[in-house]
Amino acid sequence: MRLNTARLFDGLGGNLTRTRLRRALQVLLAACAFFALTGGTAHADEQTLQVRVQDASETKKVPVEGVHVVVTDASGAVVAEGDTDEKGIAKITVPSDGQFTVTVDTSTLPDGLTIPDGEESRTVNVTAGLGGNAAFNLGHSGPTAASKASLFPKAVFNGIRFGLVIAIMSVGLSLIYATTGLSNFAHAETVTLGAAMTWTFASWFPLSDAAGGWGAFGTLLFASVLGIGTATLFSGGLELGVWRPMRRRGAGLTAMMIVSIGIAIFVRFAIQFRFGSQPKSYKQFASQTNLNWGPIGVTPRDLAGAVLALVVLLLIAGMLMYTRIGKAIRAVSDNPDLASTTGINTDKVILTVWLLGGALAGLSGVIFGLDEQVQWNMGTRLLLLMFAAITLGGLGRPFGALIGALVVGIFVQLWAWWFGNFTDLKNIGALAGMILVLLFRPQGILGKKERIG
Amino acid sequence: MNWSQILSNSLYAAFNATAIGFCLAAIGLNVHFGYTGLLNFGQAGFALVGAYSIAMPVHIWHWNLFACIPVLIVMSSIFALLLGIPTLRLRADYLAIVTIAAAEILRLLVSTPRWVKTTGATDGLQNFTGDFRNSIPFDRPRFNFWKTPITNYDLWVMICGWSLVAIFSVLVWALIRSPWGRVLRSIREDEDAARSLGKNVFAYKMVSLVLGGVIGAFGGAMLAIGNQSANPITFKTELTFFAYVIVVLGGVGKVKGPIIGAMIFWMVISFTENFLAGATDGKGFDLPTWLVDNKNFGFVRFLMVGLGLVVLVVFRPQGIFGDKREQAFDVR
Repeated sequence: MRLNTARLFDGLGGNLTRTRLRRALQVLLAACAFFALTGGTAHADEQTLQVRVQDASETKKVPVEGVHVVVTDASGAVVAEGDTDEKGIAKITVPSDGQFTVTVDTSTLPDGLTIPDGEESRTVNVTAGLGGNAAFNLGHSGPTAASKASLFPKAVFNGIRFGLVIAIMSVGLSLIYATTGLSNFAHAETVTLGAAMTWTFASWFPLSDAAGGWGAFGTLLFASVLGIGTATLFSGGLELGVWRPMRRRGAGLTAMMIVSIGIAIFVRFAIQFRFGSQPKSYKQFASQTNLNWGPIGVTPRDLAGAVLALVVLLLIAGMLMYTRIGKAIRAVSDNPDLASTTGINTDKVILTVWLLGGALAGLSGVIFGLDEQVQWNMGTRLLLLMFAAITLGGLGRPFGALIGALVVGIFVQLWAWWFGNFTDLKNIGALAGMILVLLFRPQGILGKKERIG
Repeated sequence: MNWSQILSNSLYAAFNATAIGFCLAAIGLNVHFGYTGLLNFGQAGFALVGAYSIAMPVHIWHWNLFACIPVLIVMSSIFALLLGIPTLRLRADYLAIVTIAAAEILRLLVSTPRWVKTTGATDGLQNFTGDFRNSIPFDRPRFNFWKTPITNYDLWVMICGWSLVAIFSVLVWALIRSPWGRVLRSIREDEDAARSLGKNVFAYKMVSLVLGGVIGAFGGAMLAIGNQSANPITFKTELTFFAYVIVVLGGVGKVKGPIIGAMIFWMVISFTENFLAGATDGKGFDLPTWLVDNKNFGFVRFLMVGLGLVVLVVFRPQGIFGDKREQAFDVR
């Protein structure tokens, strides 16, 4: 019996057999994959078998081009071959419907990508009229055992760099928490906004398209001043337009936290709406060659980012310890009522903290965007790591957030180094670690030992 | 633009599998947030546990789908215990951060290609609904919901799903007006007062977390059955916040809140998307493309959710039908 789509759909009052067939077809269509349909006998018509190869190691799958796939029939004879195109798809014509085995030639995989053991080949049912398809998901290949040890210093170094970037965002988040008690979920969007606006301004007013040089540096400097300024204004504007009025009305922290989530969702998707879903690089700095010091290789831009982050963190620490406003911030985070009775203008201090937090978030967004890429959800992907950092360090302790961020950064990179094969799991380690710390030391590393609850 | 078709689709969206799944997730969240004051940001995790606890045994061991229901209850209870033990003694925002992190951990675990044979990785699991399909009592394959054609599978999902909603709503209603429910609400109002009356606050919160989690897991299972796919993309953090909008929209701490909220929520979302699809297709009336085009109108629902959450919580925290005295905001 030959399956014919046109016949399947004609008329509604079909008999029992047709109903069954239609049900079977619905399952097929809904599942978007062609399982176990063996209704047809072998047919002499040529069919198209679509093979998709993609890099699934990140959340968003990336097509992989130029992978050679071989199709064999039940007897093991090669019936067709093909290579994937730029969409990661190879359309292969097979002589008939029936069962075929699709095998990926692992030697044609790009460097750094691998296919999980036992997944190199797959059996596919090809159906007359519908064809068949097979998808292969690749992961990142782990380094071999010998080179793994030599990569350890690099992993630690990258961890410190990553930790410093997380530290700048977390210090702002932690200061906001310390002075207002609010876990600000919109902080992630401040990070993204800083990076995305910097990218936009850089593409509007490019002084030079050349990679490197003063023109490129000037473009980025000018654009990041505007971009970080946008993030600062966004953060301060939220304090003036939303948080201060809510505090005046006596709104609770739960309500404010949920409002911050609403703002986060709105801004995140507004950025995606306007900026697009594709990741973008600051083009003058997109490709740079590594400086090599023994086992550690780093591009000049990432090294500059890390140094800048460190300098900014030291300045923040100095400000909190020795300046008037720094002392006022610490006083408000210790006890807002007491601070306000001693003559500190708490509203002004809180506004300063929001502006400072916004500027730090914007800066960290630019540094992170240079290191990786600018994307609409880059802040959201880091938000839970920020929370992990400030929880580890003790909620509301800015110096704790710094230490917590370094621990999280190094932990994430070492986890990725150890489980090299599947770096997409790298955030799991940090999040699970955060939950374990809460279990045994809920006040965090630097938190005060008090009853929390 | 075909207005009656758009209206029909929007009306159907108030009753379809998605509305059912989110309604159940919101009923669970209402138990946590509305009645107990627990700030659970990981309802997506509970829904994921529900979906995969019915999909994975069918996929791996070829169990009967209905035999997986006890698995769903056990697994979601275990997840609730794992979340609750470290955090329920701590401040409310600790629970929020731990639950959102735990939900993300679960989603990353089922999305990784490492266990693709067990979880289907990012493609998810598909062919697990055979037993549900075989239980369809209608011979007629197609029906019409006003102007929206639906299959007998969709109809059976709707009948089973709304029955579940009814069962859990009655259960929650009965529990909340029992002495046990009064203790829950007193914990929401003043935890220390409840503790000083000799109530074991931790145990009450834990039971509430388990109960709401199991209901949320049923929601995830209905989403998976309705989509005929258990897919990690369904269970992103957005699911949790959609459920929050639904709870706040319908009324925090009201039994009918999640039901009304889910219906209104999905009707509005579906209406907007149907309208925007018609207004960006290059035929007849079109919105200017600098404003919205046929590639980005899908994000508008998230803009609406974000804005809706802010506006509701700031200006009408008790929701449309809620009672101002029965709201979980402003407790601490």
